[in-house]
Amino acid sequence: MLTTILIFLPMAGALFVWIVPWPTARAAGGTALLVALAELVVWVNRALNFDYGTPGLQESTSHSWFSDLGVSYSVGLFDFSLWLVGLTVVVTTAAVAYGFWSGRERMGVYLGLILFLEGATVGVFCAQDLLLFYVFWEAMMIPLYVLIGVWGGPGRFDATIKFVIYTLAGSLLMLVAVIALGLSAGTFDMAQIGQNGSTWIFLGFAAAFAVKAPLWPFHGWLPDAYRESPPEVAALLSGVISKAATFGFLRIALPFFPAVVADWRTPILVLASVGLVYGSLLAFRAPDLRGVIAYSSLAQMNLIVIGLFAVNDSGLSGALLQMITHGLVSAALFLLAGAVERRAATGDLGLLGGLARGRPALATVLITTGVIALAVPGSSAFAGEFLILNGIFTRGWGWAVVGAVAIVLAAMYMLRLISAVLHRDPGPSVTDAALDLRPAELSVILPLVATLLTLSFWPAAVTDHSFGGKPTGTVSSNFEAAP
Amino acid sequence: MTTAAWIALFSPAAAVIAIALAGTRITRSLAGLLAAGSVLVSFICSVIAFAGLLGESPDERSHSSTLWTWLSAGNFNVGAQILVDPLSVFMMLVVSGVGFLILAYAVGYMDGDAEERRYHAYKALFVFSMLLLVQAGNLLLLLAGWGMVGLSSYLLINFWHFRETAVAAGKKAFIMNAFGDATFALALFLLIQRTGSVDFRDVLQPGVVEKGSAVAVLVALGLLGGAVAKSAQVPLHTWLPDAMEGPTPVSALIHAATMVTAGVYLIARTHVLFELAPAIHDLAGILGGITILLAGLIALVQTDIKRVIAYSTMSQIGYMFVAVGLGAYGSGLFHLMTHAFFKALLFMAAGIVIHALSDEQDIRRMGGLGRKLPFTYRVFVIGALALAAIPPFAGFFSKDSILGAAANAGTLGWILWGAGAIGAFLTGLYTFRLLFIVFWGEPTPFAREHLHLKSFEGGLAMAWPVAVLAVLSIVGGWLQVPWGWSLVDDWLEPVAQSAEEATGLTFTFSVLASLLLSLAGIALAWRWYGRASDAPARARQRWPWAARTLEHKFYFDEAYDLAFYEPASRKAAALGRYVEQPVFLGSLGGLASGVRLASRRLSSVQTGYVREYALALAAGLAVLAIVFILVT
Repeated sequence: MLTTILIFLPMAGALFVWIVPWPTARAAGGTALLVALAELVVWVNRALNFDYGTPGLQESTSHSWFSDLGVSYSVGLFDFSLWLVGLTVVVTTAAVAYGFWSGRERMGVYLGLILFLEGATVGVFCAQDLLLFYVFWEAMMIPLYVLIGVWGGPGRFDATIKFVIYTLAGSLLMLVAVIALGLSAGTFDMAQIGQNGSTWIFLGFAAAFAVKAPLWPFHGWLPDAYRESPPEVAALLSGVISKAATFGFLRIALPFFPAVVADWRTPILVLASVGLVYGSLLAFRAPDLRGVIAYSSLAQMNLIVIGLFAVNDSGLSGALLQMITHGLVSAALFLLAGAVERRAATGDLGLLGGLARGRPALATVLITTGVIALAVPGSSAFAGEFLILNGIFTRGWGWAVVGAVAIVLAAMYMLRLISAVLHRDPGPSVTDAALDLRPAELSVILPLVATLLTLSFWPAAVTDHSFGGKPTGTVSSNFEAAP
Repeated sequence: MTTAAWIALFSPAAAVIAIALAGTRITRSLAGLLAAGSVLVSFICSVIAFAGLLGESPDERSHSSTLWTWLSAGNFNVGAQILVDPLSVFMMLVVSGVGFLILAYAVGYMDGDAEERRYHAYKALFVFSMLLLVQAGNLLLLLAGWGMVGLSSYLLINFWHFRETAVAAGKKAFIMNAFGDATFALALFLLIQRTGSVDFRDVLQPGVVEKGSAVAVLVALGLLGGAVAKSAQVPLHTWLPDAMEGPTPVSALIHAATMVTAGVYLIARTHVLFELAPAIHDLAGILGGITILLAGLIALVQTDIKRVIAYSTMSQIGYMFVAVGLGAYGSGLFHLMTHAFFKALLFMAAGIVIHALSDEQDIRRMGGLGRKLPFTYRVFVIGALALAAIPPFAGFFSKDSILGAAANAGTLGWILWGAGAIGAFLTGLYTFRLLFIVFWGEPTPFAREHLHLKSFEGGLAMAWPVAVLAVLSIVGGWLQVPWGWSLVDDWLEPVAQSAEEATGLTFTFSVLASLLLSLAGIALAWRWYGRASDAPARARQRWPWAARTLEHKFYFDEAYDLAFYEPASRKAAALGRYVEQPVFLGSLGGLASGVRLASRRLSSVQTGYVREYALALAAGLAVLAIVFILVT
């Protein structure tokens, strides 16, 4: 029941915000924010009462939908999906608050779309039926098209077209794969599907996830989408929606196709390694703030895929931890980029600079987020990367060496970003009128940063409370090919 | 005892949080006092832990304590774990003791800076990170501390972030150290693969890898990569001189007394792993020997007061690397301690000079300051004598302990001894060159014009920590006296058994020869710089290529730019221009504009494109579905 509430509370909230003729935008926005906060409270309550010691599904609900096809409304939470739902509600709350504070046009419609997006994303993480998973997956895309296409920057049209083409192609392949898998298994219930040896069905799923993550070279939509979206939508896209793709690998590709995964490991690892280095190099040369964050996001998502395809305890735990950390990091970075662009009217790194002087809050928050993003040892991002690379090391030391190179590159592009914004003399677009972060902005971004610091202090909060607890069942035993 | 160690660790962290949260609600000097006070608490706790260990028999002196599980994955667990043993307590005492003195000095030094509170918070953050590094009970937590000292070093190097050079120097330091972090991490992956653990008690065992095997070599090499980067040894040394862009107390604390010696600590801590790979163990000593000479030579031509001392730091850490590379762990750490005293002293004295001259650092504009700054002059002389290893100052005992060990370590030992002996000559020369140029002779016009003293040299707040360090630079060496006692070796014996030093005639020869060479260096410095002389200018004219090579620091920076930075930068730019733009962005960009044109023609509804695409794709879907079902 609680899982259903987690999914439909924001959707109902969205409807409410859309339908009621609000007297002011402020009232509509405030209501949306209250809904997001209520969702957050539901999740915190759920997380505190979750039984982390035992593996398996919790809070599950199942109602037959098309019984002759074996389709049902079936939802529930694994411990690792609980964490991803947590990421979704935290980042969405921040995004709604930020959008509310920024005063977007048609506030009610806008924030309603974000709430709807939240519900659909939570649905993806909770669905236990393949067709339902697909329905939520598509439901997640539609608000995004509108959010980018209507509220985006000057280049929003091209950005939206690219995004639509890529994701539609991906999701249609997935739909085919869903149908094929369901028909061949005789059921769409994920608990009963069991393992499958079909390369084609695996590739259908992999295509959708690869586009959404994105895995190199399926990232053509990413730079424009991340540049043209409003900052809070970019935060959701890179922070949360991309994780739906890696979650798809974790929940569908790995457990249902273990034998195919083993065959396809090397090609996928090659793509992901290329993507890791490629993204890092482009981030190092990107001319603008969002470009750096976008390409670093590309690199990080490929790193997470590397961890997943290690398919061992270390790689999977690391990938999950990195999904959470990167979700928070990139959300915070995009919101900060929004704050900077608001002040300087540009994200061009050549025109920025010198913002640290007299703006201690902005400088402190940006530096803290930035050094976590570059995975300084001791941070939760470091913990995640360490586990990922340690996991892939056992599959071949070469992968880990590529990852180690990326560690150095990450330092290069993140420090470049920090310096270009904060240090040296003020850039041409930086005037004294550019204020420090306002309390409202701080109240949105600080909780994200505080969560990151807490996770850095205790990354085992995630790794120790996922994959069915320890040491009874080790992580990777869930993903081994049946003998 | 472990409780005291935990308090020592978290006290500076608490200060960071307090200063950050308090913001402008507390005065600047209160922020400084908070930071220094928290480190004083750490020092007191370290003394308590030390006393606790002292009360136990030597083989019982090792206590591990875990507060919570920091990271886990399946059966792999890493605790937030500290280890209290003779080595970690030794380092805690040095870090928190010298750290406290420098933080107290910084309250005076930074007085009036616009962003003083941020400075003190960073400084406390550094001490926390450094204590984490030396107290960590497993290699992963050690790596965490390792990275965080690098981070605080970065933050403090570019503390004056409006200076272009400071920003560049900070980045350079961080990225070079990130390289070391990466090789360190790779070594850990190998160890985890072998042992499933990073706990010192599991990993630092003689049987963990086969002696001399490829794995043993790679593990040691990875750790050495980290150590060399952090300790600014050849070939990863070029960041340290640039790091002098930070405020002087930063140079004293991080880039002389503590952080840069972390590599020495790491090798001593993981000496078991180095002993399993003798080739890499020797390599550590060889790199140290090379650094002694290289840095000593470059120091001869530097004109920035802090850079001279920075090169001297590299050179002195070279001695420590020689020591730990040859297995003389006690001697290496003894030199680490005395060096912390006299090098911090030299930096802080230099800081008083820089302050008095309105932030001037170029020694060519200084001169004759001995009479104007008598206190600074005296403590600088003490520091210089200690650095040049003249008895009875501290450096004499620790350096001769290292050379004595080298003299007993076979052919390689003698080669490194030779490097150390020549290094002793160079040390005498560059140290007293600096001393004579800055403090002797007549005051330059610049010095006369700009010298201003508010009160006593730097004020009492800055003077008393300097005085304490001056005393320590004399008596600190008496812990280990040739033909007498060796307290440091004995104390560290349960953790790392030191190699035997030479005895009898060999040792006497070693001591006398290096002492004579030091004195010769000082004498030459006096001939060239102690009085009016055109010898340096003539030498420069005679060997212009030599002067150029030294001034370009053996062209390391230029070579790295050419070999790494430029190609990486060019590749990244080329990728963007020739791959990303045309392949991924351009082609689809064209597609998008095509769609826009088509949709304008076909329909007056602006948003028609989505529907059309959906329709087209849905038709394709039907075909695909049939194909999939047929194939599978």
